[in-house]
Amino acid sequence: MSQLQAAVVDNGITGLGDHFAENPDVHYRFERVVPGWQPTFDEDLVIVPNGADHVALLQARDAIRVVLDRGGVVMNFCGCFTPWLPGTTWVHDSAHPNREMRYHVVDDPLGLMHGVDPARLSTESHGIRGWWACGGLVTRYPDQVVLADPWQRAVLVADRRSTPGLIMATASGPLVHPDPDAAEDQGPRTLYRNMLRVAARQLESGHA
Amino acid sequence: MHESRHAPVALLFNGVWSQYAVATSAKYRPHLDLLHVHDLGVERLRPYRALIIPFQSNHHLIEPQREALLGFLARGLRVAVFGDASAWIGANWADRPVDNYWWAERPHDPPVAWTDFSHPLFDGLGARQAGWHHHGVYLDIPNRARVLQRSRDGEVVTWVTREHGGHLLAATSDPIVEHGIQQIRHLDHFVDRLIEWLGGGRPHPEPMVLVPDQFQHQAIAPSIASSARSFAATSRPTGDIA
Repeated sequence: MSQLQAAVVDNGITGLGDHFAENPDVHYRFERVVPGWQPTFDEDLVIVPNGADHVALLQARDAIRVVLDRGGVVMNFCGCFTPWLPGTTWVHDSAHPNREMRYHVVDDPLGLMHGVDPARLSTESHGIRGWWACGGLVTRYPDQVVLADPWQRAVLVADRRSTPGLIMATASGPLVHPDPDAAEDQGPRTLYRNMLRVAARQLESGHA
Repeated sequence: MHESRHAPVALLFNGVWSQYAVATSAKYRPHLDLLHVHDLGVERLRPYRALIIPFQSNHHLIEPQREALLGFLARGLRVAVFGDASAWIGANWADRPVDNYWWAERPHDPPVAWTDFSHPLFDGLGARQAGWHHHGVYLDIPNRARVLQRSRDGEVVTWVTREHGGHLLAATSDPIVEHGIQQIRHLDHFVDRLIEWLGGGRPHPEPMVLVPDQFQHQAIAPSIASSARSFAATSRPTGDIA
């Protein structure tokens, strides 16, 4: 796999550089959000990390759409509460206690959950349940839902229908680039690596 | 775009959903206005008695507004900075591991180990209401600053100074973002007290309730248009899902 070229949308929160550090698999460029932000993405992979500026992203939605229209990939790990992401938006919902949180696979044609135990996502390493996702994704295409919670709220979507590209979005479940030396964890680390593998496949297939 | 009526306290807004959630809740809407970080400056600060800079703020854009922020304090007004911070506050923030599971594993050994309850910020609060977890510590705080909270290792978590005129409070805790995320359900106590200490009035004592309608586009558009001039200038009608 050749090195992926990715743009990380950077709204100045501390730690992004550590979470998406340079590595042999992915070159991360940090696209800094500034007043009047009108980005142009040369990369075919755009990453929106947890804690992103969804007001700025709404202003930049045409630039995001350009990436997707040429077959590129957008990965969103934050609560996208403004409608910048084609086909999907996110609604906060804390009506259910965290202790009742469980995730189940709905459909996974891309293999995003290969080697991932959903329980490792819904239960944090210290045994605390329900910290990964907040609320749920509302998608125009329910058949693109990969993972849902007991109340059938989508917490992971892989949408190939809204645009010619691929959108992979979590319901605010944070994912970061794992330490290259870290072993698979059957949880967030494995899921993120799977996402990169799926993104590379999408881009190598000539869609981008 | 200016609104004719302002809440007493501005919440600096980095477009983060949890910040939006708190400021637009029925409970806190009378007390907090969203002020998008792209609009931060002397003029946009003028109507407010106090400013909250929450965790997950855009420090690339805050630091250049140093003079506006110090000028705000020089008017005797109050600024509260949470989480990490840029250099304008005159202290050095340092990262530390976040222990946000202590209540499950070490419930009698909280990460905020000491609080100066004689400070009015903590009036009426118990230990668990005044401290939960913290994101790093402060090193080299201003000489005349008063330490209000310390970590298990004795490092500074919270301090306050009046050296710029008004009260500058800095804490490495994250009350606004955590309250918006709603995974710590007792933060009404601290946030209510914070707003009152900042001069923003006393929120009603019922717990904050977030409703999905807050996140529907019809509700979002006016909130962010009033907080982000740049958004208001460039936005166009949109459906619920782009």
